[in-house]
Amino acid sequence: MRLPLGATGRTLLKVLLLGPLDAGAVYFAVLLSWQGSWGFLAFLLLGVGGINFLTLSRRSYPLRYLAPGLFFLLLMVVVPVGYNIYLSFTNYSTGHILTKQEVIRLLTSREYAPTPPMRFPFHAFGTPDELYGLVLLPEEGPRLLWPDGRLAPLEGHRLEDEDGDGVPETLDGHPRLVGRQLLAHYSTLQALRVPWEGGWLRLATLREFGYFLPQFRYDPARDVLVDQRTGVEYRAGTGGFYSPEGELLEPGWYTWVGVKNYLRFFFDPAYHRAFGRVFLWNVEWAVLTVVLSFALGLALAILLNDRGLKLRKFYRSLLIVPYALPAFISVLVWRGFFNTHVGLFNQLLRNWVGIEVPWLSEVFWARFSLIVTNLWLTYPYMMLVSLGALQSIPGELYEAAKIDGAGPWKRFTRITFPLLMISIAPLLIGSFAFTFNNFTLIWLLTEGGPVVEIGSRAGGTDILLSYAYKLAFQGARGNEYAMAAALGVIIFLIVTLISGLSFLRTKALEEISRGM
Amino acid sequence: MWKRLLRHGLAWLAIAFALFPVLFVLGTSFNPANSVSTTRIVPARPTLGQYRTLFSEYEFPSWLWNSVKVAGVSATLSVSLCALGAYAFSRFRFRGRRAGLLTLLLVQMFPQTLAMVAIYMILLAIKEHLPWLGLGTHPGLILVYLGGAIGFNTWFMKGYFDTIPRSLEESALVDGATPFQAFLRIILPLARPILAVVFVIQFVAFYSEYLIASFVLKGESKIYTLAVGLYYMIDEHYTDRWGVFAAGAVLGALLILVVFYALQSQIISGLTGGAVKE
Repeated sequence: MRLPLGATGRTLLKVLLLGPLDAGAVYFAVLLSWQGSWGFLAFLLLGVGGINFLTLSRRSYPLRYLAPGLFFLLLMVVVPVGYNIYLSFTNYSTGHILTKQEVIRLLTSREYAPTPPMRFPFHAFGTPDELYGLVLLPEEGPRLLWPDGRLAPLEGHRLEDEDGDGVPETLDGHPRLVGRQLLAHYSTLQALRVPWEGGWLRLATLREFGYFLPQFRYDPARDVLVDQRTGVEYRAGTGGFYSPEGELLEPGWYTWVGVKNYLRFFFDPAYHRAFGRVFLWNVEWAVLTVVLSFALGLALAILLNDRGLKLRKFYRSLLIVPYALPAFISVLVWRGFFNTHVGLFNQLLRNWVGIEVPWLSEVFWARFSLIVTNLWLTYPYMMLVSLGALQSIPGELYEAAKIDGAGPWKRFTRITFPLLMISIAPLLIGSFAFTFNNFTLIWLLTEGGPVVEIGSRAGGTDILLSYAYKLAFQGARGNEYAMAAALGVIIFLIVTLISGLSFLRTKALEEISRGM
Repeated sequence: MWKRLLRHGLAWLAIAFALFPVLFVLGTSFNPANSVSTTRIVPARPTLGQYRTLFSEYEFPSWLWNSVKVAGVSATLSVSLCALGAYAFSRFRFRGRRAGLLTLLLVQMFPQTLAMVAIYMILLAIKEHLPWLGLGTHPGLILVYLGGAIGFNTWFMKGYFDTIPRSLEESALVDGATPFQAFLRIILPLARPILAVVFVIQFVAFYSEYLIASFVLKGESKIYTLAVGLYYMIDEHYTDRWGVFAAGAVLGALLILVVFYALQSQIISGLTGGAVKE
């Protein structure tokens, strides 16, 4: 592994390796700054600077080991978290994606046709491969239009109408293009914008150019956009131009809006009812499933912990099957069982008692189905950790308790359970945090449904994370990225608060700092 | 006597709860019927028809391969990155070491999925400059997965490295090896069990990941991972694709099941040990 090189040789090797890298970096840096991609430029410079520092500096030696991992951690966790917090203070969403400059450019390029519309017939000349020129026929006399958009007088060019039918056949000897030949130049023609009396001419049909006027004119001094047809002034406000009646002229731009998104989750009727409902169920869901699954897991662990029980190793390996399967597959299978029409459960119920249960289409049953499914998915984990903890409780304690006359129930509540909780409590908190955000289960089983309120996106089994997912990626009102980002921050605060408080009550933190 | 019977009875009851979905799906996958599910576990006339349909009419092979590829590459890289970092934290003493460890732990408390909007935007921006690494590509998905896997695993491996006696490396260092050579030749071979466990746990986690994959792999169905592909295949189609889905579920779960049982004891100790086992 060690290269047969002296210290000088190694330095030389480093320089040889870094040289091309730095040269390449300079090349791309120039390219990026020319494109104006400042974010990427900063990233490139930091990255390459970092590599140089790591390779050449002696003091950075430990960092050489940490840098590769840190790079990904920074890029895909730290930067997204920071960016997410930033987004949550903006109005970034469908209709507010562009910058103000882009919005102005977009709106001022909007056009309208004057009444009555003005249309100029035209002829095009050349071959299907090369467009030579066009002749426009306004009322005041024909004009030449070159393919690059320049207008020119016709003088000095030969426009010949040999058969005298009023339609010229050649221009400077180039034949007139008709039908499919003309269509070959469609995209060139379509791209033409010819300045004309305060507006422009552009292709309106395959035979005519039309005269159009800009709909809006931007007045930078007063920061208003004036509608040229109506004279209405649209004033720049937060994230867009607004009419005197306060209506937004679509599209708006994205901008800083402060804590508005957060406030909307608590005060805006379009969100706060959904938020409250989703939050309550989210907490119920996490608490209920963790408690139930721990209860079942613990019960089975106690059952299997009995050394007199034959086959207990065999039982254990069968009982952890749900844990050994990819959860997404199990959940999709359970969803099939719960299907109202063809699912296993309703078939059995129909055959035996002649009833049907609306498993996934009523809120109560949808929640019930989720809890049953999650119980199936997670009890093996609880069983395994409980088994481990049970085995670490010294047997003498039970002997002593027995001698003192404690019954099985008393032994469980006074010895087993308290000792168990010491090692398991941190894991339960971890489970709680995981379940609180278990998007996959909710999404694959119910998609957050059923609908409980017309017009609200939050369904009866949505948790905060799936609600955020809906806001961001599947909105009826477009993509509400900023609201979803704000919800992400709120979820983080909730989970941190709950697990932080519980961690403080256990000794987990101390143990962690001993580990360092 | 009765007590013991009761215990076995309870155990079998729990086993029935654990296994009935598995057995039922296994049976369905060999059942020729597709439209209406039966309540029989063992089909009357078992066939391999569903499996044949799965391979000929669906893009299942691509999905499975994509999942294995993405999970395999991500797990391999994340094990290498974490081993390097864990070695530095375990063996070197440098300024900012404690702070670094604590930061790692805190950063890890923010699940990556909460920043999904930002991740989406970043991949969208990357796509403009490097189309092969941006949104809608497997390298892009791997990039996201790698970031999310660093914190916890570095901690986990550091704990294991701390238990390997230093004397082993010290003699190598005295003989003129560099710390990196000591890491490669001495620590890594000794740490093989923990590397395997972290690899498998990560592999299973990436293989099963749905949320991030669902918005990163937007586009043609050919690039889906199994989680995304199976979801779109069966969603809204429980009435007419149940049989063929069952075949896909069996094949999709098989690999993970085999790996899990092969390394059962190590994986369980890894998974249940949790963050605070140092």
